[in-house]
Amino acid sequence: MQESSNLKRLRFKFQLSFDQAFPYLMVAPTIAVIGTLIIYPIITGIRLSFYEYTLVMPVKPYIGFRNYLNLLSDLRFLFILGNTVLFAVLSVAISTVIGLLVALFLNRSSRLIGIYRSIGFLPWITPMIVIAYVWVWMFSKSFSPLNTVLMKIRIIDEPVAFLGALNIKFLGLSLPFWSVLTVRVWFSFPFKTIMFLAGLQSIPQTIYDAARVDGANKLQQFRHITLPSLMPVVFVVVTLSTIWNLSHFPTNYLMTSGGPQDSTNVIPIFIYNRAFIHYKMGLASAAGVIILILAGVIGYIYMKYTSRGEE
Amino acid sequence: MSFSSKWPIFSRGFWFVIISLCFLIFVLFPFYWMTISALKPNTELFLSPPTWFPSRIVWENLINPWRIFPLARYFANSLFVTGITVAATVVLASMAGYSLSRVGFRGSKLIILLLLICQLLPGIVTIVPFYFWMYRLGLVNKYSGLILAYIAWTLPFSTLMLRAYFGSAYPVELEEAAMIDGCSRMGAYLRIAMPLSIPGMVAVGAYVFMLAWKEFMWASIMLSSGSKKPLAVGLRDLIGEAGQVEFISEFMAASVAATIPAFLLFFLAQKYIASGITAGSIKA
Repeated sequence: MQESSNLKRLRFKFQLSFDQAFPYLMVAPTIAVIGTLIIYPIITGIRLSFYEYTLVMPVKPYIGFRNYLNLLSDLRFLFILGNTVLFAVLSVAISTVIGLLVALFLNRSSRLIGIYRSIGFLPWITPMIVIAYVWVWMFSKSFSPLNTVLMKIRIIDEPVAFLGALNIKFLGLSLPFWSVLTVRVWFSFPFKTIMFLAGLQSIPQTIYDAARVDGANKLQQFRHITLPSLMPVVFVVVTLSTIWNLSHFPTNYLMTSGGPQDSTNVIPIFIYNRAFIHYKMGLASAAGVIILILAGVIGYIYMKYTSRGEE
Repeated sequence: MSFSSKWPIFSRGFWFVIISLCFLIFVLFPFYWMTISALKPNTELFLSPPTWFPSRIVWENLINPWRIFPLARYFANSLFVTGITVAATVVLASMAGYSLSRVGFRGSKLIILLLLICQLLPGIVTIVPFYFWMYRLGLVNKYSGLILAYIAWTLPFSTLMLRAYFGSAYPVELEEAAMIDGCSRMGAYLRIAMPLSIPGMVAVGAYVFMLAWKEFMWASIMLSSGSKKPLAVGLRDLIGEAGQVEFISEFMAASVAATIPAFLLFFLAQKYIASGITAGSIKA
């Protein structure tokens, strides 16, 4: 009798300590994955950026900030950096504005929202390689349906090579730039529409009813209810997609490899080429840290804002 | 009202139809073009200017890439890599998400912050040292290297999404009642939390599947040569240097096939995905 109650107590004690360790055991695998596969590589990358680290060379000397100085005094690198920022800012701005407008229009018809939502997801779940080369094919000089349309409405007289014609400029940026940008907007704006629609649907109808009773017209309702309620979603979507766009690689790489003449080149392609073609791991890491700093600034704003919202 | 009924151009319905049509054409046209490019006879494919409708539909075109090119193998590779990634990520994310959401413990806030930061870290920054490390471990050009990359990439947001899901999926009293009745923490997780969170796990799993299926950058570095490469890289075999499309008809047919699994999964799990993604990412 005594024996069994002791055993029971022991079992209870064991269970208690197991219950205490339980949450740690549950997160341990995730922490292990993040630690070894994300944090450790990041730290290695920052360390590598201070070395002249060429994979095939036997000597890998520490050179301090030389990699950074070399990059930041290289006009070509600065041009590519500017291009990266332009791509990110324009792609986020255009896709957010289109996404917002489409969401506001679609929000009127709840019957059709389901269908639009399904269709809006399609570009986003299509393999990058398919997106890139289908658009390359649609942008080709001789076989492009866009050329047919543009010639019919007399915007152009003869077919243009959308990914090659550097001489055609628009707002100071070349046609290849705009063409690649179009693709980046194409697959990112429908997803933004879906996010904005979700935000719009979460605004309670009763607020609108109350405003209407108080005599607010449509425009006032939009200004004082819709816009402020939607701002948190817009903020999250804009900051997150800016970070992702700064490091976006596949569209530019697959469509043009950054050409012609760097017109569509971005830092991720630069890193890829330096690291995996020239094996200059140190230099590539330094370029990576520069992107990390840019992303970090935006990430900091994002985290500050969202944590304030949570409290 | 009478104004807009006289002039249809001012009516709301008119603009709704116009905007909807623009949206549909812009979003869907590339898919249409891909499909008809795959189905056109080869002679018609290279007409300039191009035809808008195929004069004759050649269904055999859809089979060609499977015959002249190891598409089936690449398909299997992709399914394998994506499948393992989904399984591992969902299990790990469910465990961590549960304890971060339902069990208060010291350090949980810090872990959540860490996950948030990891979610925001651009892949291009980790790819160089990651490759370098995998290279030394001998995991480059093996399935395992790419799977590890995908798990690391998808785990932070999956955990955060499931954490949000556990926080709102069912009342906490359910677990408390079970634990008062003598159920351990482990038992509460396995017998109550897990079964009740299946919709959330389906959403996260489908999300991870679609991301890994379409991914190109990691695949092109971790698994880009030999017969083990996934579809996202394998399709490049049909493309010449500098973006020239050599086997256009075959490429388009293979593309049609490559988009189907993700589309199919999306329509099957749509109900879960739409709410899961928007809830998770707004909360995260």
